Amino acid sequence: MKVLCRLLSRRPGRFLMSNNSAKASLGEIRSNQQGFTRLAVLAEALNTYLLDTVDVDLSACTWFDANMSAPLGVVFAHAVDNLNSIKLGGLRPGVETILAKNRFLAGFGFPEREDTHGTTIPYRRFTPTDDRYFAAYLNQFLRGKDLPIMSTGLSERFKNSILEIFVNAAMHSESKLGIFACGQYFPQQHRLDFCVADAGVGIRRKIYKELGMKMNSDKAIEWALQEGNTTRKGNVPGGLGLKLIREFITMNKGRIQIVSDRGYWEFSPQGETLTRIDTSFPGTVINIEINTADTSSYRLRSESEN
Amino acid sequence: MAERVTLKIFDIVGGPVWVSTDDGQKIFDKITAAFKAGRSVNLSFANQQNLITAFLNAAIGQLYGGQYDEAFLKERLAFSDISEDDRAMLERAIENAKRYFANRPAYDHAWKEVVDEDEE
Repeated sequence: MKVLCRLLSRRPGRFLMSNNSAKASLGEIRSNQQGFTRLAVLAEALNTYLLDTVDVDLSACTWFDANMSAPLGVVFAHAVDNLNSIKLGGLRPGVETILAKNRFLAGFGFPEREDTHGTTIPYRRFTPTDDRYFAAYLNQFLRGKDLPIMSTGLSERFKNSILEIFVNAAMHSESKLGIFACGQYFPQQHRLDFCVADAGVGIRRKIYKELGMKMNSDKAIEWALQEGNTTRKGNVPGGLGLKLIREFITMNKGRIQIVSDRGYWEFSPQGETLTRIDTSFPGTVINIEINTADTSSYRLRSESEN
Repeated sequence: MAERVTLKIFDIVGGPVWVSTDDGQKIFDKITAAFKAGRSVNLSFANQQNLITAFLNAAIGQLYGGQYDEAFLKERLAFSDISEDDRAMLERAIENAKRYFANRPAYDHAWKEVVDEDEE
């Protein structure tokens, strides 16, 4: 009852049992600013429903980058937390195949499909204390027989980067709904994308809560990227994980994106973008994309050697 | 010369995955307990499967927070069974910790100046 009162207080205009038809839709989703914005808009639409069965129409979704299943998981988790049921409809065969292979659709009554090309790192939902389980998941699936043969150095740096992101999310996000992960190898482009998304308070609110500093979402991401900045209390230094990830992505000519609340940051060989999207994403997402054909040596050096 | 005790991360954490700050804290607590008992520490990295800076910041980085000076740590803390890559990561974590503790108030102050909030 307490939960229900809390939910109702957030939506004073909603009735408990709605007879209205609850609907939402989603277009093409790629790992770019537009893709993240569309997921934020979907989250906002779903946030108007309570105790409803919401039909989510995917007929306009002609492509879905499988790694984006992680932030989609966050969006649906919030809707389900508001006591809604999600019904997916209008799935095009290609999109259904992608989302069935990575097991995202398993929770929505669709049958699983075998990943015959072995290009998928399956969708999973973790709790913040699942760090060892998460490491085992990466150790298992990043070593998959069909994933590209990467140099040991590249593979280790990639794995460490994802582990840093997971541990950061577990430590800072306050996500009660979990941490969502999914990866996809795109063999034609020699690219491997991996996405970690949480349903937490977002970087901006975390900085305000812990340090009392008010800043916009884009500035908050910039703050988190600065060396030495951390909202961690106590005597443990922070601010090194993201720095090493950025060094690695620069060497690899890969790409990294961070979405938190309305903040959007992207870093790639094409340049750096820091901006605000129009709609707030309910959590924080970090997507890393690496160039798997890279044969550079990835030996980490101490700063004095750099 | 203080008698040296070997601490195995694998045994203290209870496995080969060394990623969380909580597990790093367990290592920090054991090292400081050994120092309090007047011992030197040899920290063994044997049987490592996953190691990241979030763990090292807690395990080693916070030793540089002022409780011990660098000369003490150099004399009393040694590392063994560590790969070249892991040693480089460890050195980065130590360099980061020294810089972090030297500049901590300046970091916070600099950002208090650039607040530009207009989101609700």
